[in-house]
Amino acid sequence: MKKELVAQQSFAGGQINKSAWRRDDVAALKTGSERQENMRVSATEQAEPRPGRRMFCKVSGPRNEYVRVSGLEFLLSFGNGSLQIISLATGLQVFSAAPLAWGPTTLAQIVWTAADNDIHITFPGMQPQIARYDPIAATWSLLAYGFLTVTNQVQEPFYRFAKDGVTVSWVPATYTYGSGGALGSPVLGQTGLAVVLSAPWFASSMVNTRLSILGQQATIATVTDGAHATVNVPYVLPTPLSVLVDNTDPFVTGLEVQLKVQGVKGEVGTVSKGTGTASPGGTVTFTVTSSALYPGATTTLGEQLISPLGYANVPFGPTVSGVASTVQWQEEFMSGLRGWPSACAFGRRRLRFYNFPQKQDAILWSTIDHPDMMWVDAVAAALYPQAGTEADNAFLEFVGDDEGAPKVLHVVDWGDEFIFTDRGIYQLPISAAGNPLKPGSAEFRKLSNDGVSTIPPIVTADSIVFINAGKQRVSALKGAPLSTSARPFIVDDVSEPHSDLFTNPIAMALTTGDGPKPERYIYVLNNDGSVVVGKFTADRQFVGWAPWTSQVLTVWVTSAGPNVWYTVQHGSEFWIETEDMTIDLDSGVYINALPTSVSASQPGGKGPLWYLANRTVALVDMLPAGPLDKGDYAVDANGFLVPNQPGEDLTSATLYAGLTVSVTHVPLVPMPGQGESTGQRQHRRKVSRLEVTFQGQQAPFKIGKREVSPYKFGDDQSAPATPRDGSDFIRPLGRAYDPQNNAITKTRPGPVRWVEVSQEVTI
Amino acid sequence: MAGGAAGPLSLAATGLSVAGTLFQGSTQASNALTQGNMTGMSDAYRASSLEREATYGQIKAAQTDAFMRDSLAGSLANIRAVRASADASSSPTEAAILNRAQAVGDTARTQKVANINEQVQSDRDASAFYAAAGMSAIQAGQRNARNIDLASDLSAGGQLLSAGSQANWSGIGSSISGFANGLANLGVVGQQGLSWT
Repeated sequence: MKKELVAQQSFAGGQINKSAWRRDDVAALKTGSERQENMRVSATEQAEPRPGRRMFCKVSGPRNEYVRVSGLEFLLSFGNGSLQIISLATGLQVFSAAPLAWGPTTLAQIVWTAADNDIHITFPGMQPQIARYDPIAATWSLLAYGFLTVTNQVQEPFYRFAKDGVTVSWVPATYTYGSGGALGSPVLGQTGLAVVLSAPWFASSMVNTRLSILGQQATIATVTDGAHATVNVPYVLPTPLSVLVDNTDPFVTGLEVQLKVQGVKGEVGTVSKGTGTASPGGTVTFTVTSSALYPGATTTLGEQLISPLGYANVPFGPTVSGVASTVQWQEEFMSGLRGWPSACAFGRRRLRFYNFPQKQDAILWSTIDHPDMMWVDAVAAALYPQAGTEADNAFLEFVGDDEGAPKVLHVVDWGDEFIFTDRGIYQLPISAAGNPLKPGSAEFRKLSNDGVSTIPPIVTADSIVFINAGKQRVSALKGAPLSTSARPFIVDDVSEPHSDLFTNPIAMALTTGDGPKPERYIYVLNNDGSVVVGKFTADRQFVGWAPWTSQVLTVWVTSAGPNVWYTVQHGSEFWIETEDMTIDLDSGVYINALPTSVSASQPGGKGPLWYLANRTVALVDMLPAGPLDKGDYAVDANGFLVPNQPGEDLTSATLYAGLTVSVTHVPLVPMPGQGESTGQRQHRRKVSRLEVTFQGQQAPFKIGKREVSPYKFGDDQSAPATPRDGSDFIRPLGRAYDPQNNAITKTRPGPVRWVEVSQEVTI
Repeated sequence: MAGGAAGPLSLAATGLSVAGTLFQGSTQASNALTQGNMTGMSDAYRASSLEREATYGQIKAAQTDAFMRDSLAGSLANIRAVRASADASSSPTEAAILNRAQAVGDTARTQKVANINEQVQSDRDASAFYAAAGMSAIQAGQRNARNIDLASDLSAGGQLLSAGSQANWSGIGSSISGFANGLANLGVVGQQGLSWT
């Protein structure tokens, strides 16, 4: 009977969906497994137990994020309406604030970004907050985000929410007149100036919000009804001019006009024909928009009033009279009334706000080096270039898409800027020399129509990894091969044969491989607490994803460089556990040498394992020769270890206790090639021999039911095992279409590396 | 007896001298008149040129104004086209950039047209000056001519009186008569002009 001999030397394929077990044509299956739980794949693609997790500190909230500010490292802990800041150096709290807008079920909606010594925090419906670090005093404070005010101009963006054509009118400020009828100085600053809209728009909720009327800012003081309000003006609103013209036909309300000789520009408010309709002449009243420096009511030879529709002769000088009105008025773009941004990001020395409820396709960039300066006023810009037109100014853009406005969820720096939305991914090209990021330079090149989830994407060395809108797959945006350089970027799904592993993810993290292990890993946390880990391998087109499970519930994961911090839940408490390469135990501590960050939360009278009360832990003596597994121990109700033997000495400082991690590997049983006469594809098959080759073994593991001990016969088992290289096998019983009685398992702490799993398969 | 009787040759010499003086004066007056007229015409020509330049300048100002308005409209349209091609929606920043571009364009146009109009005004002023100067030159030439004529007439008269004082008064009549005949023969001065007898 013909037998198939298959050997797996690479474990890079990860855990494959059950539905794909027979897809021998898929590259990932050649190195994948039916089950690959709590295994870590090394740079050379061998398998070993995943790292353990060591207790670090207790935190107030379930969402914890690493941040580096002013050269110091902190953890931001977001709890139920609270913010806590923990020093990573000590594991102790340095700041806390409450109440804040978020709740226990909405923590994932918090978006934050660090800009210099400020951490900007956004949340749906909340005015952005700033956690500010003072490096001199080494203290933190929390304040609401606000715009800088420069010479009475609040540096904020303005936008027209009311429908076009609605005018606002007012009686101009009192002027003093100079000689010859020329205007003198206006009276600066007015309170309670009445303004009237041509159609209802005002609401009482608009009190204390700002308007921009022809570029001048006014704060609404009172609202009488939808059309009437009073405003406070710090400077002066523009004045109306009335001119007699010999033809009123070219003038319509709202048109921009200009006195040709005097150069004064304005916006037509009213047009009245002279009596006797035989004459087309009459009076045009326009509100000065170009300048308040009106030269006076002097008659100018050859003066004409020009509009886009034509011109008329002006035989007499204009006079200041009438009611000023304009269609050019706007409201502040972001406010408690119109909405606050739900997301933020800092990059290119600009703070960006986006995901606005009032305009979901908008992105607002701050002035360079001034996160609090975001003055964008289209009308004011005519006179003040700094109102959103200079290269270093703030700007407000909307992502264009013929298929409708996409909702901007993430803005990511990766050479260019990449806009991730619910309807696609856009590239915003940036060139430092030729096309710097500045007002007017924004270009939105659609790269993909993939919708993206709210989980922030992460940037690796050669791609941006993100989770799709449906949260079933992980994709990567990466540079295209040169052969397809016409499209510089492509989007690849990097989780296709592993989609079963992703069950509503809530967070992602990345390790850079700068630590003791050189691999780059991506961590995806599902909302059920399971962690899916994928190793990025440069020469492979796929990522081998596999689950990392634990006896404790993982609620968040964050990383920086090679370090990973898990937030786990012990009872009702949230704890930070750091990834620990030395031993594969979770929630571990040296029971006789608790770190200060842990003992600081230890209740009086409780033992070192109070957070694991009434549970069973594995005890390991961390000796210089290696870990010595002392076996399982019970923890009593007060957190003290219960000796297995009366009088057992458990006082050594090297005793380390934690929860065991169950490692399971079930290799795929590859099919013979199609057309082979063995007929194995059509019959139940039998793994007649399963052989495992391993290295550096210091902990036992099982092949099927057979335990492979790290000790050889006669070794001193009271000392750590000498790292052992070897090979062992079993002959499993039974047949199946897809045999699964070929598991390799490990439940005791200690190192081992599996380098090859070979199977002899027959029918 | 006061002096001797003048001979016929002496009288003729006196007559010729007077005629020469009158002729010289007439020539100089004619020259002055011509010079005034030429200066006047030259100034008139310059005035006319400047007026023409002013008119061209006016046209240039109107053309520049129209061209720069068109050009600005084209620039603004181009900004919109570039942004639409870049899939950038109409945004507050786009409006700000357009407004700013329009303001800058308007300022440039206004300044340029104002500069041209200043030149037009300057040309007009210069034209008026040269026109006035030309008229003044012509009038001055006429005045000069009259004065020179008068001066020569007086000089000639002086010469006659001087000659008479040196001859006996009885012979003066025939002397003047001879002088007048001499002038008449020369055709320089008509009989009527000097028919003192």
